[in-house]
Amino acid sequence: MGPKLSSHAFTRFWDVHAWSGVVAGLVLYIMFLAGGVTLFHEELAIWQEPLAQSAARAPEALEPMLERALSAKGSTPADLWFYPPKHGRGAARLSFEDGGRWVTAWVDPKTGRLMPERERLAGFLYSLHFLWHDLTGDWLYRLAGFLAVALLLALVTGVLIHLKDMVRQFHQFRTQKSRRVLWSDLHKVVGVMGLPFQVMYAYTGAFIVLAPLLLTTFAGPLFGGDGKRSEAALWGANADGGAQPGLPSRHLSLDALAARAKLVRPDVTLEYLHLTHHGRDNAVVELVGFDSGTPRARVDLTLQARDGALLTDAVQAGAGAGTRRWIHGLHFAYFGGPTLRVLFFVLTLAGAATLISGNLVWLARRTKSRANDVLARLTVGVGAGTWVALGALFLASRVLPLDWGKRCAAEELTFVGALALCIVWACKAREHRVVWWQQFALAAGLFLPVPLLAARWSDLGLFGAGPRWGPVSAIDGALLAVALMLGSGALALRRVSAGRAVEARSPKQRGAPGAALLAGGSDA
Amino acid sequence: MLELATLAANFLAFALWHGADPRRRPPRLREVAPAWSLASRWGAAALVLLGIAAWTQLEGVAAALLVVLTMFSTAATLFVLAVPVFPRLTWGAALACLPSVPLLSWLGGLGG
Repeated sequence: MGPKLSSHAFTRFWDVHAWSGVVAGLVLYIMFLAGGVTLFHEELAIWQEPLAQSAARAPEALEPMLERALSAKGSTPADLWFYPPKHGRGAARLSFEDGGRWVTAWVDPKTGRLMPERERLAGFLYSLHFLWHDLTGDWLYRLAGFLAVALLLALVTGVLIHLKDMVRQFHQFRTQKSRRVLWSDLHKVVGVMGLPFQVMYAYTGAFIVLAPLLLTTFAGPLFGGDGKRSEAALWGANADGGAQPGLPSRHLSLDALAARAKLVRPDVTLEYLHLTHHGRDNAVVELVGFDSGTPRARVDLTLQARDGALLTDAVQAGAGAGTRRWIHGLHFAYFGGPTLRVLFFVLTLAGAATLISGNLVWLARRTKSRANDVLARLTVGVGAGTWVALGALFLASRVLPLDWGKRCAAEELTFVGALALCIVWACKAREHRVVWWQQFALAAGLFLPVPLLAARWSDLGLFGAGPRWGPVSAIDGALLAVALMLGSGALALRRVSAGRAVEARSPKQRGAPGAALLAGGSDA
Repeated sequence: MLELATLAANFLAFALWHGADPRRRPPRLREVAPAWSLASRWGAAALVLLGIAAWTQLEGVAAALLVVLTMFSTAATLFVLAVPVFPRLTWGAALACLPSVPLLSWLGGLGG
């Protein structure tokens, strides 16, 4: 038995835990699920776009690939990002700013033309997990950071209020007791078992979003107001060729620069290149990759394009570099391989269950009121509706024509619209508890056909005509697994719901085993 | 294979730790000698350390500690939630891990 809090402290911590959970919980739930999907961002980015899967060719030099892309574009932007093919497959990509708008384009390997990015499912879910969108901008993104802090608060106070009974409680899941006990046990089990994972994500997420804000606070007293020095201390030094591009001039090829970078840091695997003032006197090339440490850290090597001179520190050491390695390494799971990411996804589901069960515990402990009824319905609408929205998003991504210019916006609207409709459905339903299994069943039905439809555009998946390729088949398999999970959940909840209806009609069955599970306590 | 072996070791480790308390064991095993509880806890600890040692063959010690903590958390979550609903399946899975751990470790060693 652990240390016991005073009754005043216990009450205060309980209130903070409950209120921070209820206020932030439903938005955090959506962020958690989107973040869980984002663990597989690279695989999704390959699955979603046939151009990322195009047949393996003989290795091609970087310079002719870039020149072909720039020739297709017709001009050279002052700042451009160049993503060569990876894993020996796929087409190259360019990203640049065009008239205030951010553009990403594929270099079609067959025609050599630039094709605008036509699929953003992976990017949308990535941005959703920190509440970013072009339309909402920074303020919602910063709010995501504060929500992560609210989660930390809920986690710390949760540990404090359960400290004395924690070891006993985390082995305890009593399905034969009342529903209030069931939700409470579920909340404690998934909360405690997943505590290291949830604390890690809450802390690193809050750090990534809020550190730039904190940095401006410390720039004055610690760096004499020098913003660039403060940024260099945390993010690493950033060098460019200067504001003036200079005259047109020749420079070393990208391949020669990449070879120079390899000599300096042989442990770094190149991911992409950032070119500034390409083709000019002051051109610089930033080669970005990951080292082989644990966790892997992003390494930026900036070289002067004309002579290959290194402009940044080759070995980035110190507190800032160490902090970046661990914060980003833990948050983006840059270690442990695919096994770890699958386990993180399972713990994400547990974390999502912690948030929802927290609301159910709140509702079970409080008297019925209009506000609590609204919370109960919102919990259903968001808890199950987010899965419907995800299913609708994936289905839309395989149904909408690839060459339709508005498909990215249509997909985003599909997600938002489906979620909104599910919330309205839950709010309007006469009996909102049955909406859980109905929406889970709908979500399962939306996920199920997606791998089959994906085979229309890709031969490399589970149902494709060609040889299977790992990233594509794995996503197909994962979608089927999610459909199975949601379908099983819907069946189980329907059975509980039907059992409750029978029990309510038949007084004789009130003494039957498990009847307590179906009776008693207010709940969602 | 080594990843699966480490996962199986952690699942079995949690099952042993969970079963250390006689009240949480399957009914048939509740009357077993008290020394079983101590042996169970030590066995769990040994399996976790084995998992860490196995993972250090793939990555460094820091990664091994983090990965094994993740595996143990995941195994614990799944076990505690499943055992009241599917007790035979869950305890059966833990029992199946007993021969699986050395077999998968050996296969992983063969693979290099």
